[in-house]
Amino acid sequence: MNRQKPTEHRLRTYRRGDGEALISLFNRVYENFAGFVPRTLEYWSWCVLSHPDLSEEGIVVAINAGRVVGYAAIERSGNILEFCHDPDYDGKTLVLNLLNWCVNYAEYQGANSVGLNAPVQDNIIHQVCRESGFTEESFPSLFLRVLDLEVIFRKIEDQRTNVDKSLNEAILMNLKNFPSSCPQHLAILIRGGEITFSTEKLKQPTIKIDVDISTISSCIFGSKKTLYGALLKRRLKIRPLRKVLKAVKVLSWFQLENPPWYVPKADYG
Amino acid sequence: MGRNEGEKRVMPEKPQYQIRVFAEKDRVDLMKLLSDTFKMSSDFLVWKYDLNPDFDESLIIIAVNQGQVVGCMNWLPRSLKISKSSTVRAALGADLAVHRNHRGRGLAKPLIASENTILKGKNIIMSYGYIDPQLVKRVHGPLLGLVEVPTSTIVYKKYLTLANIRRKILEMNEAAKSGEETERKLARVRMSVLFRLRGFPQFKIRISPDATQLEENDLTDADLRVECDLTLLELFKSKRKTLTVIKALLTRRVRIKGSLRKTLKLYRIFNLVRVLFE
Repeated sequence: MNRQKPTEHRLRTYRRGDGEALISLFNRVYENFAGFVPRTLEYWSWCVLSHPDLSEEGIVVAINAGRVVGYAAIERSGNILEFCHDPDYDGKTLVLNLLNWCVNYAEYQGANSVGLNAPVQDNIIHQVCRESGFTEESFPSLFLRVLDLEVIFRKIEDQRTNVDKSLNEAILMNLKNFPSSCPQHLAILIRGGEITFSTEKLKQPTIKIDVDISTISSCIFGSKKTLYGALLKRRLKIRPLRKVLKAVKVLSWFQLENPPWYVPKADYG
Repeated sequence: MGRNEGEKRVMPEKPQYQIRVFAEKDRVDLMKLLSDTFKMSSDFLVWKYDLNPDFDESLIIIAVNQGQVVGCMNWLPRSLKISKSSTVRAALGADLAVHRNHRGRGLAKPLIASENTILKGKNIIMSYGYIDPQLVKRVHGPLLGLVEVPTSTIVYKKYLTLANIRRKILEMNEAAKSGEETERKLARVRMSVLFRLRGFPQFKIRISPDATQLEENDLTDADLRVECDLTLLELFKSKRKTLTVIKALLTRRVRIKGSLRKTLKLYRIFNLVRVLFE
């Protein structure tokens, strides 16, 4: 049975003490996105509340039955630093009201434009923005770099659920173009579903992998296709040849599930 | 015939740069460099650096020449989610600045590369940044091995005024006065175009060899009417502009109403007009 989502709400500007409720909503709504910087009161107070182009009158809060169901924080120059709506709530009316409030505020402040960063997946924001005559612009290119492969692999390993107990291998990864301050080798020892890592150079590895920093980073943040592409382009070299499939299987364990990356304006000033 | 002493060609000495971690005595110089480079107000700088709870002075690297700070880069440490279940300690690379008198001398490279040493021992396992892809191709990529992450972030924008377009028109008129190429292109163009674009208020531009004018109130009597449902970015920033325009016209996402002769004239000055929207 479809549960009717509540629609009624009222808008008011920010009041001292709202911070915790706004942070809690933001963390709940965006925690599953990659690029998410968890909000603490201290961080939020800095990136939003103390922003030199934002005043407390630039934060609008939507309330339903005493509960915060959405909010927006907009700079005087028209950039929306954070925009958040409760998914358990009838989004369209709420998003429309918050967005209209922001446009009116920006007009009042004499801003040239209103800009909002939102996840592509948010169909409600997309629909409201289309209907309100917003255009779309691309987000700046985001680049990243792995500095410590072992720790990243350990982090992913901790979350891994697909354990292959039949695999017993000693893999030595020779890391090319890694900064001299970082280990140049990573050994992955697999015994009966248990994985251990070491930065020592294995004397008798069963599989040898030569890879450079950008290729292995692409593989971590990419798909299985990225792995095969790197193999074909010889940017990922696996020896002996008969163990290529096993090595690819192991490397694919260390690929992130590739969630969408969302970055609100507040996170990069 | 030998040259005398006065005629000897003296090669300018290559400036010497010291790359080191920021110290408190560099504060005034550093703030001035940042303020000049990024046009940041002092309020903004105080907020960005002094008030930031994650800010770490030991993560600012500077380039010094003859006692003057001429370059800088910093990293802002933070917790960053990289997947649904994994959060790592990461550093956001920010504010790479080189003094205008010292640009083109490869100073950015050692500043960027200092990341290898400066982030060591800080428990930071990843660095990231929002960087111009061309710069990454030339500088960052070969140095650091950065990879681009496809983001799902989209920027919705609504222009409330035509201030930017008005400024661009002024620049365009200046360019037409001084540039022969622009002057030649505009020589035989005399028309008015009404624009109805998504995300913009309606406006009309009157193009003539003398000057281009923006009209916001009188929107009648335009020779051409351009209606566009596309994002301007798609239309004007595409690598294959002609193909994109043809495709947009065929799919009716861009509609031009008016005589064919004027439409072709508009296409002829397409590159001049598109700068208005960049």
